[in-house]
Amino acid sequence: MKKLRGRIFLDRVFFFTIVALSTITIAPLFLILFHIIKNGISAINWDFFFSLPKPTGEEGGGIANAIVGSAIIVGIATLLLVPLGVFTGVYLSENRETKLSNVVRTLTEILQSTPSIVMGIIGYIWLVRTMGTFSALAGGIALGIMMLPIIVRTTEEVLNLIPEDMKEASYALGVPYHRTILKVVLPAGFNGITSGILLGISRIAGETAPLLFTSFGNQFMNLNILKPMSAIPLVIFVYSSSPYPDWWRMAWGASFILVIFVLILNILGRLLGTRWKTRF
Amino acid sequence: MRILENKLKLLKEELTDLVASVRKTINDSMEALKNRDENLCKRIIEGDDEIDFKSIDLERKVLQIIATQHPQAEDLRIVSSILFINIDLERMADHCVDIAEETLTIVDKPHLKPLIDLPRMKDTCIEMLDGAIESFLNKDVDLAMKIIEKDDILDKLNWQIFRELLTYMMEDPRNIRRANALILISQHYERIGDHITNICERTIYIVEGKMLKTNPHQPRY
Amino acid sequence: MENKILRIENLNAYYGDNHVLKNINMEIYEKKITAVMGPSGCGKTTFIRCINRLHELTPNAKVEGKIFLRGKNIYEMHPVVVRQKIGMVFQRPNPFPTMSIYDNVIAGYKLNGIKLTREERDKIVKESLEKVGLWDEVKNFLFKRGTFLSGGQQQRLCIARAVAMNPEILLLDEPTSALDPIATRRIEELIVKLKETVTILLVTHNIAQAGRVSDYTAFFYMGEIIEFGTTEKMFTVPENKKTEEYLTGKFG
Repeated sequence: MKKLRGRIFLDRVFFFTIVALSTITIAPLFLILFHIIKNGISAINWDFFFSLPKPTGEEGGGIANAIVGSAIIVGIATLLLVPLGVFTGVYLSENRETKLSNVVRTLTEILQSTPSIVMGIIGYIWLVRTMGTFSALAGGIALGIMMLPIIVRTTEEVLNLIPEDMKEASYALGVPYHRTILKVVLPAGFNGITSGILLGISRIAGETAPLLFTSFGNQFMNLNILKPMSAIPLVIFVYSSSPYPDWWRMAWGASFILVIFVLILNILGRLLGTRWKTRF
Repeated sequence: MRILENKLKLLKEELTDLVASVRKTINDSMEALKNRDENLCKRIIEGDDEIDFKSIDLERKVLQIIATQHPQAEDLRIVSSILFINIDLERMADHCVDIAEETLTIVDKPHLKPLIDLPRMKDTCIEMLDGAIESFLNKDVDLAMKIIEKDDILDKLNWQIFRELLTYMMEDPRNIRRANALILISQHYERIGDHITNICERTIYIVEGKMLKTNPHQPRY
Repeated sequence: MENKILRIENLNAYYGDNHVLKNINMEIYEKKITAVMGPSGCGKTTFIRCINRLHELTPNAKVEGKIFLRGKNIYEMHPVVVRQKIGMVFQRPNPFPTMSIYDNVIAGYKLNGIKLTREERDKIVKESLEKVGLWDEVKNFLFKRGTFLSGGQQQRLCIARAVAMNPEILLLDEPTSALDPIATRRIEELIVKLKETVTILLVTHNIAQAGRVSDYTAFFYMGEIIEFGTTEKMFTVPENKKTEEYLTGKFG
């Protein structure tokens, strides 16, 4: 009888320990969010979104150019690298055992674990030096390459889950291979693939190191992708390492926007992902 | 329509065709006797081959339906009953052949007496056969029971003919040959009637699921 | 006089080194139902997949021999053309999940980029669904996803999809093995009705189904064709001892 009571007691201790440790793990996340919101919310106003930065030392201004810049750079990354990633994912899913596909898969994994600063340096050497200038295009490509492994992997996994039946049904109707992939398989995996894209975007939206070496930043609003462009992470970096309290405030504001943006994308991505999973 | 329903419909049509052949043979047998028609007798005897083929064919078709469609419950009773009815019909045709063969033995001599009761027996047989098949196709138990009762008439007529011809035989030994032939023919018609009552018993079995065995005029379950 | 629509000559099929079909010679009669039966692994599924040239899409698969559709060798035609003339319905119902019922039925046209007017499309959808007995059941929600239907309805939808292409031959690969008995019976009755317009080849491991539905039966064993004849004869008086053993359940 005593042994039993001892065991029940141990059970309770174990249970509470797990709960406590989990809480400790989540705590930093909440603390960070809390901090950012507390400090950043005071910077948010109409101006913040729509005006350009004021010259050094002056009060006020906004980060409109950074917001637009981030949008353009992420847009370039998506437009250039998502189709490449999706088709690579299709290739890997269709050819599971060949030598080439195994090589591609391994390389993709290596690409994923490459440090972001290395990406930045490579981007500098390949693109900036060749073009002779910092540019949004270079930044977009660098970020895109970082996003590539996620897209490839998600696409491959999504397509692997589609039953072979569906492709055979299409072939049996006399539909050739390329149309089967484009009009049957990809639409079936659409939600899952989109979810992967959203997660990929949320991943790179906050990357700073690559942009430091490729896009560099710009005080002014610039829409020319062949010229340097501002971006939110760059602004956060520059402003927070400056001596002006006003700029610190704006750095908090920018951080706030970035965190909210990434959070929304993440939630959307996962929602789409679960809705997709119940399809078959 | 269900696959089985279709096949049963065709099977019943084949059965009806066989019945028509047998019916014609019964009528022919009396024609041949009344008219002392030697050729008709021979045709009846040869025509039995055709009836045998039809009967074998019908049996084959029943087996095919059982093998491929697996009829259950009432459908199974119908299909198995067709097998038995087939046998009864074939035997009835055989009796007609026997009647024709008996007729051939007396066809050269004039009739012993005007034929009255024998044609009546044949007509009763035809009535009973028509009724039996109608009751089978319509699953009509009441009609089946009525036909079974009609068999009484055949029994009585058979007995009557025997007694009458007995007196002919006792009167003159030269009558014995012809009288005997007529007695035998009468017995064949009586057996035909018995086979027809078997058909009616099958109808009752199909509808009620029980075999009714009628033995000397006493229904027993 | 019954027409022969398909002639199979010395068909051999391989998965890698595995010789799955051995020298098959057979003829299929037009607008009749021919059942292909045999124990698991006898090659019956491989056989029909050779007929619509689906077999060769499997890696390491090889085919030798000739199959003549109305006198033309299908291995000399473009596979896409062959598959538009020879339709297939699979074991598990597989309507396209991203398409509505309407789109599923005309999927063969849409996916191939064949242009049809609105009237032509509506006509094909209505006729095909009527042929499979689905029209009344789904006419009020043609634009809902196909995956909301029951298993039996989904399979009938797949049959409608195949039939909409007006194929010469319809291949059915164990079409009812994933369905309940009542859905199975409805589909069997549908198959018998369909043979008025299209020749049917039915693969089944269910002997009773082969008996119920088909006009001709081919019995396959270990990649060879053991016997071929009218169903009624084969089920009552089979010629080959192996056929007799299979039918009476001694193996398989």
